[in-house]
Amino acid sequence: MCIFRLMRKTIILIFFFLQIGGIIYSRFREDRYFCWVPYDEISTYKIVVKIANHTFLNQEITDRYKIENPGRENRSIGNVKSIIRQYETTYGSNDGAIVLLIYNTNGKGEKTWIWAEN
Amino acid sequence: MGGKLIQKLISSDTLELPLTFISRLLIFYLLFIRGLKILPGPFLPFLPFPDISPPYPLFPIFLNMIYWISIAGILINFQPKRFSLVLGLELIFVILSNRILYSTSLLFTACIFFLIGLYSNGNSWIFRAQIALLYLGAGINKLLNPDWITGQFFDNFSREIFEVKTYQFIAPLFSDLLIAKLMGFSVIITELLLGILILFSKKRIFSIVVLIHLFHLFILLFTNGDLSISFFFIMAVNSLLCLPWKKRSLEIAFNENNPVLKFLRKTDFDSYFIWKKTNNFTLETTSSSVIETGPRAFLRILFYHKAAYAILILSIIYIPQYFNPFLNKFISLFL
Repeated sequence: MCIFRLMRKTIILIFFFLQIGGIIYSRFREDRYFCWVPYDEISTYKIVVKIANHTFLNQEITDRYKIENPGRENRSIGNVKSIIRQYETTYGSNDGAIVLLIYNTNGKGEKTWIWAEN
Repeated sequence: MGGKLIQKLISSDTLELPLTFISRLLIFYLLFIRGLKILPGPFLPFLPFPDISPPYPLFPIFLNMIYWISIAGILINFQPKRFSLVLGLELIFVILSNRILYSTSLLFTACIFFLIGLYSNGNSWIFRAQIALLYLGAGINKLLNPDWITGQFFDNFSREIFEVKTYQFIAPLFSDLLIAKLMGFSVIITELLLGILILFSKKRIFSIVVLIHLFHLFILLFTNGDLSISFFFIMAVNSLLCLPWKKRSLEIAFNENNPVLKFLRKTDFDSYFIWKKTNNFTLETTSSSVIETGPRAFLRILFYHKAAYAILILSIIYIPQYFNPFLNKFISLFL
């Protein structure tokens, strides 16, 4: 009984330390996951995807990444970049896509991020 | 027999916290506010191993079966703590296996389900710690973000993102984004204070829980109900876990001619309160020889009365839709 109680306590403590670790780790990253940052940074964005000579329609981009396009990211624009980067290096690694992410964070003006494998 | 069954279904909390009640409200959030009736399969996972879906098409079906069995278990009060643990772990797994599904409110709900599963009497600090972590994490992140300090975030937030008419009317009256800076600082200080107080101020915990409700209600009203029903609901509901819930420790002296109190007495399904009739028209509650009267007593009853609280919280999430158009019309008269 005592061992179970100790195990339970250990699991709870590990659970909380992982969260504290997440908060600290996120300070060194552009994407913000597992660190309790609701609505800390708001970006509006538009994604443009081109494969060979085909430029994707907004709906095709939404189907590809499963996020709205154009859309709004309420945590960090790094989260949208991480989705594009991960997709293009895994499921879409053979597509040779060129992706443009045009975004505006906290109304400070438009920026463009470009993804291309090479 | 039937009465006992209904009693078991409605009121079920034998532990010192109303865990089943909170779990059921969180299930309401999952199904009706978030609309998560079907769990999606893995897609762009945080960890590599959940991405086994294509070779194993039955995997998402299996996940959904566990999801619905856990929900059913909690709703019918069959091993609610165990099913909360399963549901919490499953939601964490699903978030880890699908980057798109990630949201702060869903992750927080998963954490609370997980902690409900691990709770044992005397361990209520785990819920206070979880809520404190969220507020401290949010407050620290904002404090370290220059856009929050310069007012840039709040100005863009209120002007471009949510088009808050109240802000657009008041802000130009002051220079240097003063209102935006003030609002930003207020949010940061409130979040940091809530994080600290909820951990250390046990004596004033009722006031802190009320403050949590008011803070999120204010944000909800300020943004026309857009930001965010999800967050208001889960923070309000989960903050109840920080209150001391000792059954029959609250005595209510009430006048039977008052229809509201009569209704509250009838819907006190698990006989949480001690009800005492009186001819006095002033409502009075007594808890550990502390007497409260009038609105404060009524507020205390509302927060501890499960049926009334459920009605209240479910009503509040729809109020901004009706309230803010009137407020905006009034302000637009001046613009």
